[in-house]
Amino acid sequence: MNITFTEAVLFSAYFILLFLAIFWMLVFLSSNQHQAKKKKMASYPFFTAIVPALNEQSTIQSTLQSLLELDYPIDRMEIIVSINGSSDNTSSVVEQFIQRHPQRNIFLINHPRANKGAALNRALKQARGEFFACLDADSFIHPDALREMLPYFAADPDVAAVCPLMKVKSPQTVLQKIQWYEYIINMFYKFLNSQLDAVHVTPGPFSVYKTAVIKKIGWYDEQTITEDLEIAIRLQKYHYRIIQTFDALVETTAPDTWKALFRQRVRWYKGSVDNSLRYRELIFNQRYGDFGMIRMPTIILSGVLAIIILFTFLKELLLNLFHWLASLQAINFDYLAVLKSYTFQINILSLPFFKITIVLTLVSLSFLAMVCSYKLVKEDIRNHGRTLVSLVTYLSIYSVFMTIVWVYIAALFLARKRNRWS
Amino acid sequence: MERTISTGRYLLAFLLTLLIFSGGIIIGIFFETARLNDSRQINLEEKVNLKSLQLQQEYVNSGVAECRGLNQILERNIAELSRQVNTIQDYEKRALLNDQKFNLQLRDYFLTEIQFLLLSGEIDQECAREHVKVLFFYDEDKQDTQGTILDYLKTIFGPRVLIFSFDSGFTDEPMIKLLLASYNINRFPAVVVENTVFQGSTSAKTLLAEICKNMPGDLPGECLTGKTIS
Repeated sequence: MNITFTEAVLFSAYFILLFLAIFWMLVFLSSNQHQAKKKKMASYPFFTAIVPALNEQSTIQSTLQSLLELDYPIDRMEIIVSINGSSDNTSSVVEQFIQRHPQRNIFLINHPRANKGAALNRALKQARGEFFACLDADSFIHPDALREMLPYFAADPDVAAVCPLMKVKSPQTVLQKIQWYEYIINMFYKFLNSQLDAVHVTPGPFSVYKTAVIKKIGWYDEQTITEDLEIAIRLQKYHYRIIQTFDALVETTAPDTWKALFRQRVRWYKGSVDNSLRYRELIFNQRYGDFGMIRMPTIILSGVLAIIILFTFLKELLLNLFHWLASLQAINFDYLAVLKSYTFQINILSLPFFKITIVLTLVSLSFLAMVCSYKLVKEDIRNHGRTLVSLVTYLSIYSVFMTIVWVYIAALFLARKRNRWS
Repeated sequence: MERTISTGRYLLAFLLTLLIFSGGIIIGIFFETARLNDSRQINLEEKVNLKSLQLQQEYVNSGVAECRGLNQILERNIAELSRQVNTIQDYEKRALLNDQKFNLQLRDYFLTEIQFLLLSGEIDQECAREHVKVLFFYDEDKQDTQGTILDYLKTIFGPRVLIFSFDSGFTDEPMIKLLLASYNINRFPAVVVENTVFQGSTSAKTLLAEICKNMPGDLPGECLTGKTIS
């Protein structure tokens, strides 16, 4: 049997994908099904909520309101809004909000446009909290979130960050519903990562940090476009623990256009590539346990595999399409004659059973992961409607779209384009 | 924080992945046996058809039977032959362990096809020729449109064109080399219409003209109206 180079590459990609899927399923099966340890706090530590904002006049009020509704003593928390060179009325909206709530500790910092990391550091300089969290101006925290998250710090001195359960807020469109699926499956994956102390990102919306630790390891990086991923990798580098909890819920607004989604994902994935390369000494480094052995390598690997599989299928598709067009042209596009002589025949023995076995196994594992993820976060796939069309789109077009993002990033990387935070 | 490596899980995941891959290969081997049996069955059916046609021809020779119907049976057999060649070649490409056995089946197939070709020549001598014979020598490693053009012409002319296809690169069977040498063919794809040789890709228009030129008896409508093909 002749195996082409393309087939060899494809089978290798399948092998790796299957290995990773089986590995994480084994982690799930052996997980203790309980969250990390929590310990009731003796007192309420002072807490700072930082809201970095760039042109968020339409959503910042709701974000601030959700922070005011946190079930936490108001004298034990402060809110710092760090406005990052906004050109709209975000600043005046915040000022009016502060005036309406004089009894609350809400502060506003205005500064010229800079990276989000710089905005966070400016706020962190004047933060009084023993713990802090950043809440993006398009995200909304549930009232009991902070009370649920802080006990993890009390139980384990190695814990430097606790991440909440993140969901898409009230998806209105098919695209947002697709992202709703995606976030839930990602949460399942993060749950598995946390079982191995291998969480690689502390998402912007309301990940809670120990202030002293962040300052000790060098504050936020002000150059990176994904400061949440960079800080998480740095915490791992210094052997701090990051907890993923499902007790605390934060909801975030998802992009409702493909263009906005594309920009968001380019920033995320480009940031992950940049930071993976920056911290490449952690890759396959046993000193960092499973984080170094499997999590760090797969940050970029997932993109590489996606590109390989897409290009393989595209090559086959384009070659077949070209041949089909050439054939039609050779017979002067007399497709009626072709249709007249066409006989539908399936020879079962000609089916590629080896490939079918692998693909079926991968699809089954993916389906199982989807079922497990919904059970874990106690959601129903039918919630928010548009189930069928969004599921079909998620399973077909969405993965192709994400692969195109990876291809674009590969092109940017090769062209050595500078990072932009937007 | 103390770090751990899930060595046990990595090993188990690797073993399970190997197992699934091996399972896929085993399933592939199982189906390969089924494909081998299928290609043997195909060849057996073609041989039986050939034998039947040979006997019918002998009956016609001895005056017991008439030519009418013999050409129809010949055309049906040839059409069935050309449908089956793709199947056997597909099986041969997928072979994991039984390359040689599939090669043998393919060789057997081509020999049967050559026997049909020779028999059709004998039938033409005894009965009035009713069709045009076309030999098609393709290069399995190249993707060209010659096969599509011939399928198209077959659709137009139906039973009045008999197409015999041979893989020019199938060196395991010396008879194919002999055929190529007899027509002095060294470029592919190549088409022989009766005794006229066309080497390299040939347009549908050229082949249609040549087929019409060699068509015995009443010319079909496509030859008279001059079907427009580029």
